[in-house]
Amino acid sequence: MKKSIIFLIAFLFISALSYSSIIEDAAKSYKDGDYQKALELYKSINNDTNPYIIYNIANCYYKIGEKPASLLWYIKAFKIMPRNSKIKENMIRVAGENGEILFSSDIPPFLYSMYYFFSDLEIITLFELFFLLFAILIIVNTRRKDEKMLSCILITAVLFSVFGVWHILRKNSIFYSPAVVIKEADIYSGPKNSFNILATVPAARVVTVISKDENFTEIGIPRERIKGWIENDKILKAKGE
Amino acid sequence: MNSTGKIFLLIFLYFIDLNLNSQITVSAWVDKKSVPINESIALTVSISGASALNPKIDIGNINDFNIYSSGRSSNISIVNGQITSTVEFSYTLTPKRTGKFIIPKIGVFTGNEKYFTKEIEVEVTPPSFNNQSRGQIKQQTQPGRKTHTMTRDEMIFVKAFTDKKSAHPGEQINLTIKFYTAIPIASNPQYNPPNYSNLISEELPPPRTGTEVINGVQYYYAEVKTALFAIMPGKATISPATIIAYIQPKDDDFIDPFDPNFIQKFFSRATNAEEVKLQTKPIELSINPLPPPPPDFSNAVGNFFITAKTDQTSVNLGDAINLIVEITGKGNVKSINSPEFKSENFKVYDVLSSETISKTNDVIGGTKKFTYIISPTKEGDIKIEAIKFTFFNIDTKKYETIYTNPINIKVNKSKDGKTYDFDKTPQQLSEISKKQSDINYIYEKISPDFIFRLESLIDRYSTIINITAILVLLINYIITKRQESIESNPSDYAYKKALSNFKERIKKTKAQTDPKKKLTEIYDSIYDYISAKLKKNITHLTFSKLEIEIKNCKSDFSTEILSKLKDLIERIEFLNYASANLNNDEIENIIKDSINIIELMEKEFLK
Repeated sequence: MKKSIIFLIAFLFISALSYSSIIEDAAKSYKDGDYQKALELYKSINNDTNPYIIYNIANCYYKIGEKPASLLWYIKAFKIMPRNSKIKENMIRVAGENGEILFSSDIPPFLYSMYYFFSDLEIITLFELFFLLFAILIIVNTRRKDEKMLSCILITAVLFSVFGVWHILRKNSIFYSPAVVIKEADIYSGPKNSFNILATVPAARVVTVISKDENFTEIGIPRERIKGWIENDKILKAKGE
Repeated sequence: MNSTGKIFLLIFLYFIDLNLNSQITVSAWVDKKSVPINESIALTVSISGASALNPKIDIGNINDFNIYSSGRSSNISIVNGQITSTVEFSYTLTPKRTGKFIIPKIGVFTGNEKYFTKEIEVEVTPPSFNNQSRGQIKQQTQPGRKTHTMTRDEMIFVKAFTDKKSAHPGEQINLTIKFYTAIPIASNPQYNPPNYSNLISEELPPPRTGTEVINGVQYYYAEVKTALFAIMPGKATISPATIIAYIQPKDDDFIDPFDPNFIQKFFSRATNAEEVKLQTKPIELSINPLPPPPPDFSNAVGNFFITAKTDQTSVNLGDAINLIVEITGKGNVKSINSPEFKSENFKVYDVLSSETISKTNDVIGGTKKFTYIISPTKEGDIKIEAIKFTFFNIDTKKYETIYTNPINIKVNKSKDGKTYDFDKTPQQLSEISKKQSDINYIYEKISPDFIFRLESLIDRYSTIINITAILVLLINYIITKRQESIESNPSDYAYKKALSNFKERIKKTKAQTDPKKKLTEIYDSIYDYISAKLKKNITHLTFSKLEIEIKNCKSDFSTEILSKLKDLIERIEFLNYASANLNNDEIENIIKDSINIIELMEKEFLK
């Protein structure tokens, strides 16, 4: 068991070291103004879990003028690391430049800060952690019958319930399954051009992916209360870009 | 730096607040200390030297009078950098009852500190009417003595009406709330004004009182007027106003309203008063949009004229000049914004504003005064160009642009003979000038992402983790329940598990090498099985007694099986005690037989 943990840590460490030279080259290219090369280098790392790399990719997209792609990558980085102010500032800025308001001014900022304090992955991890702890405590308690342990079981139950509910609530967030419109596109009432056009969405607007079809994606714009289908080549999705 | 002008400007701007904050004086006075109940008092609250030109006056603690705001005037004078500011708030107070009253200390909050005025004693006397008017009342009222047949709603009521039903934004609309009564009231009625939607209000005091004949009935009335200004085109609404009056109950001595002393009696009765709450009907107004405005229109509506003057016409370079622009006329002067003043020859440091509001003949008007603090940027004879002001003339229903007269200023050299670069004043240099903004820079050094990878891994396998945890909890639950079942009734458990326990022991017996021990183990296993089935220990009993016990437990137990069991036990006993050399095949046969017999017995027990 110990060996496998050491092996896992070593593997993760070595894999992180393996792209350090690429990051240095990419940062140099970015500094020199060769944003396209920097973008290619960052993307060659093929790491979709490191928010810093994702953020740098978003910056490169912004600098080469691909704002919809830039916005999508900022959203990806924000989803992993919502407490990072640099990511959040750039995301809001790029969205604002395209007329998209991600955080309504009607809602106090501290409520948004609370809602997005943990990332989706952190919420799931904490839920799993407290759920496993709850299960272990239950098993231990059935053997020992210690009344003091009941309070611990209760606390862990409350905590995993909180994170469970939080996870469900986050599914309503615009960032849960986001996509960004690349260019002005029509939203149809069905997955074919023959259906009625419900609305026209300008470029760089953030939409929520509901389901996917061969050529169309079902999307929602909660703020406008619009739900319909958009051609796949008109949007960039967070999953599968 | 020797230039007094430049130093003056900087010091002036820096210490402007200090000057304003210092020596604040708050006072209040009334125009008369004794007033008849049917008249009103003018109360003035004055704040001098207050830094806030918009202090908050707390008059909510004056309970013995109805309070109506009758305007506000402010004045700012700047002399050699010394600012004197005076703001006066005027109120009209109408007494509710007769007697001696004290107007309590009035709180004035300037934004930094709270100040209080002194208390003022006021005496409210019974009403006074001249003989002429009383005579007129009598003459008018004689024909209509119908009071006794009237309902209360006819005798006391309130109505609200406006002088116009439609208007433009910013145009004055006068609202009148009129309270009528033909029966005595115990005190002056209490007035709760209506709420307004899409309208701003300005009270038009004082409340007016008098008598009026309607359908031959003489009423005493009190009316309150309010000037309203619409904000936006569309609809505007006036919610109901409420009047609370106290009248004499029916069984009280009736006072004839046509009694020559009616008015005196009207106010003097205060005992056993009954509360009557009256409400006006809501009013809806139509607000028509203004015609398309010229580009420099800043929402001023009314009829105005404009003047401009300076406090000095000859200054040294670097000195400050007060350019005073006054806009006077009828209209909501509060809403007038400062006209734009742009000049290459002058630098504008600040614009201060004050206003004096008049309500003559129920028309809101007054003067808005803007003081531009400016400084010439070059020497010589320079001109303050005409300042223009555009408004919508409510009388002609057209936009009008009016201009001030140009003012000539002679600018001499500064006292030290230096010139000033006004684009690089210290104040400007100290400011941060923003040029362009950009996105935040990239992360050049990337932190390891172990945590993120771990989180991603957990997310990927979260379903498996959850199912495993649930299964473990389920298994744990089953085990616990089973354990509890065993612990709560061990004999039942032994009864259920008798056959499997027997077979388990026989299986273990086969591994035994000593034949004698094998036989003993088989023998014990059979007896333990029967003990478990009978739920009692029978290991010490002879077979005949054992047979009885089995029959007692299950009367229809097969005699044939019992006979086989007896043979098997006798065989085991015989081999165990009689044979010296035991044959393995024989033991194997006994094992097989014992298993067969016990299985038959199990079936028999389960019948």
